[in-house]
Amino acid sequence: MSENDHVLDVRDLSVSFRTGRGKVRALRHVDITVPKNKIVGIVGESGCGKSTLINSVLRLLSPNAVIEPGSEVNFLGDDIIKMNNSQLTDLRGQRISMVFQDPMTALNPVISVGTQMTDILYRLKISKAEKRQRAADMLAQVGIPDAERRLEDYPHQFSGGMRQRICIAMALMMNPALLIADEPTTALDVTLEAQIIHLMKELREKFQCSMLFVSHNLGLIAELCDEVIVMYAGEVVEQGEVHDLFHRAQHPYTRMLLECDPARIVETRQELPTISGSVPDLIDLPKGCIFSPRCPRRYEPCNEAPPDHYAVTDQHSARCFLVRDGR
Amino acid sequence: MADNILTVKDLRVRFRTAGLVKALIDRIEDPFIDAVMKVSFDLGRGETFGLVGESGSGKTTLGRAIIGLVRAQEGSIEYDGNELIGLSDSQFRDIRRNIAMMFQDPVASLSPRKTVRASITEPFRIHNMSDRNLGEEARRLLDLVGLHPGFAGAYPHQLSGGQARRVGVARALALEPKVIIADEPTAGLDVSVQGEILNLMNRLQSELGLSYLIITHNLPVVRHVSDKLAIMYLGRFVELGTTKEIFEKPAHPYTLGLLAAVPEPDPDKRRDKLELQGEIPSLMRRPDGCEFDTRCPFAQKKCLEVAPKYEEVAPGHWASCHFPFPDPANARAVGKGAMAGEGNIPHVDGHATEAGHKSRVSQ
Amino acid sequence: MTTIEATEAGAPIRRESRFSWLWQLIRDPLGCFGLILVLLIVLAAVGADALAPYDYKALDIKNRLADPSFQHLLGTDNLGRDTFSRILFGGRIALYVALVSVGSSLVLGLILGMLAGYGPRWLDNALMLLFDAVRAFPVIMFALAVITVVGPSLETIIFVVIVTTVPGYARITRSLTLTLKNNEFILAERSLGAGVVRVMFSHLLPNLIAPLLILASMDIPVVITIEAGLSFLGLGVKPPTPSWGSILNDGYSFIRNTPWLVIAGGIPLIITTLGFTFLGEALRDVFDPKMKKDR
Repeated sequence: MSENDHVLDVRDLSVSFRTGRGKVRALRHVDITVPKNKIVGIVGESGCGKSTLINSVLRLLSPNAVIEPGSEVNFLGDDIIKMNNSQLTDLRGQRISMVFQDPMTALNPVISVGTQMTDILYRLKISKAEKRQRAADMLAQVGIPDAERRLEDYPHQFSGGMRQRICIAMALMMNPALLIADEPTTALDVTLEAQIIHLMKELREKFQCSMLFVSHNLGLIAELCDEVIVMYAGEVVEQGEVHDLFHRAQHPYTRMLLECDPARIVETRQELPTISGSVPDLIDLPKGCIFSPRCPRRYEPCNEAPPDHYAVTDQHSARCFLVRDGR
Repeated sequence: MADNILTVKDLRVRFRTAGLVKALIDRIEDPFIDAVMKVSFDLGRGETFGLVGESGSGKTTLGRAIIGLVRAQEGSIEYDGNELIGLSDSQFRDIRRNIAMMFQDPVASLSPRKTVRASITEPFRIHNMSDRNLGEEARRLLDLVGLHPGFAGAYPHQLSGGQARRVGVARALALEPKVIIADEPTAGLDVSVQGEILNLMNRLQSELGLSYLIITHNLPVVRHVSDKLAIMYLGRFVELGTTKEIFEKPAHPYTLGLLAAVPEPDPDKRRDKLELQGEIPSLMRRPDGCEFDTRCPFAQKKCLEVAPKYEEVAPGHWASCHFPFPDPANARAVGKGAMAGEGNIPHVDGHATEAGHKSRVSQ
Repeated sequence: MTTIEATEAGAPIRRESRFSWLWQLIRDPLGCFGLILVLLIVLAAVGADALAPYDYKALDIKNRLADPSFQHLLGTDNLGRDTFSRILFGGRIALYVALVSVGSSLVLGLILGMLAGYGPRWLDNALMLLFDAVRAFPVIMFALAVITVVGPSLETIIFVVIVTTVPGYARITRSLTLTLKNNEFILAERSLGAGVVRVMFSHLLPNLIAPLLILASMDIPVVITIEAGLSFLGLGVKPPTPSWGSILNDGYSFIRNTPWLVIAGGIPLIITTLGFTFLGEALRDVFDPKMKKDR
């Protein structure tokens, strides 16, 4: 794919955190791309670095974070890492928007929803009435009835599911090229989750934006995404087109993850599979492959040096010697 | 019928929404909400019973009522033949040793300034059994849940989610209960780690002859661990039966909706299935007729007027629906569309909040 | 089965000593400094008998208002008493008043606050009414009124301080208790059968102590200053008991003769205030992030 087809092109992104115990290497040489109009899913468990990754895209990292030299986050041609504050302000909310995990705390409790929504349009030189009209339209589009009147209401007057819809509406107000969703349904019940996912599919069609969807829920990833990136302990271990990943996963971690998902296990009341061991310490990294201590298929090269990304097809690659050696 | 260790009959838990004075002034006739409304079920020895529901369904309140954290207004809870409701505090204390609870947030449910050892031996101190060698008991319990004895001196904030859960299990097992109520046992755990705790619970069940009451909204998990389950909505059981039956032949439309809402980890099986619209109504404004009629895609005129009876719709399979075992093909709403159709079936959207006002809006 | 689980669940745990907070405190420069100052003051007060070269009452009229010299490190006051010795004993007074009053306030406020937060609604309402009433009184007015009725003495000061500071501690304890009581671990303990007393003292209390201690350490210099102020006005200790405030008072009258009395009275106050304030702030830094998370 040529560069013009990518909305987001992250290259060699490495992020570390300075802590009292040492330097935590949270992200190491991460490459991801988000093509135009596609939904890319990032799946991983706790500590894999997915939150750090998306915070890096919007430069929302904590003060003790260090973006290592050589990292690039290219958005429609510009490197976000090199942007200054005014460029970042221009970027956030307008060209890249984010929907967060917890709808209860994502909205300001003391400002009416209408005001919060019209505030986002501060960059536009249109009348106040026009802005309110747009806000009401957005609310209606995300499925909130009686939208005009509800602009006056405060966040606590909406339920959790509706608040998340409002957050999505706010994210799409300025018609961004990229929408980042960080576990947007984790805090919601399953029927509300289904509604939100359905809504996001519809809106993506309507607004023609690309999406970066982060989740630990394999079912949602399968439901929504065109491409999938699997992360483990700060690295991308596998990435590919969604059918390839779910049906022809190559990396042992991906395979084990798929095996562990109770929704994929047909026989009930059996011993459930797990991945033994725990995520390695990100301060003191092992010499070889990051997953080898827990990998049931490790062999000689695994402990020597970390593997490269090896291609399975032109759209599917995994960071595993097994792929290189065709095992 | 298998020997039942826990029998709940017509249990009702009410909460006050307004004090006496406010109720008088605002002229609220019934300043109560029914968090749990006439619920009955049996838990057999060695069995696992799943309580499934979303937020606001009352499942957590039901669990808390059984263990005595919340007072039940009506009904009965029998443990091994002994009635629990109406017991004095000291009598209840004795019996309560047989029922233990595991809480949803494993780290938060441990006292932050107490070591693991202190937390898991707390039950002994509470029940005046500190003459036992507590150090040994702690070691025994840690071993039982597969934790290295070195964890005894750790503080809760030093534990991972999985480790903290194991400590929660250890504490629950201290007094050798026969029933364990587990509130969302896998919440917050990564998928690769969920199996650990479930396998542990399974092993303990066969080793110690435990019965479990699992409270969860996670359908794939409950399918794996429970023998029977009940689906709760607005404080009532809308369906009850064996796990196998409910998953294969769900009777109630809400169950159908729940099952359809679980995303499958297979991109070939994407949904255009039944999607439940709207949100759960407020407990303060229970809908007339069938309480699910505001969201039911199969709702008919009768459903709006008459509340269905909770009855046996197949052997051992109970549901409260006028038209059980609906055919998904007859579902009226797929996607955001309005519910057209016969009669005036209202289309109501969610408004489950305190400021809840919103009367029904008919189309 | 057990072996495998024990191994994988037995990941190495970073052992945390019970006094890790102390090491953290020492590593913070201000905290370390504060700690040193406080230790200095405490040692000086405790060891006053041994350290003081003279009896604080001993008169030496011939040598009155002398400048500092080898015999009198900080000079003498208007009655020829050795200022340095008086300062040391004055420290004892100051610490006595501060620790007794703040300590009692803390304990009383803690208990009342816990009762208000965890107990029945009516008790909470009653206590809060009481505290609000007490707090509506201006402290100095109250102090002056009591002193006028009962007469000036250390005990009077202690009483006044306790009465006026208990509501503050109680309120904070109450807020913290209200937040904590809905935490899952309290629910868990109750589900195990823990009674009210056990919940309050074994589970709520340890989590309330840290923030209260921080407050208390910041209050100590305030109380010392109140005592010094009242003594300065002549409403505190009776002569010849040395209080830093009374030394300041004497120094003020004789400032044209020698500035050393005022300096001698003021410096220990400054040192004490700085010391406890730095210590309190550093303690807050140590305890706050720790209470959130640690991995």
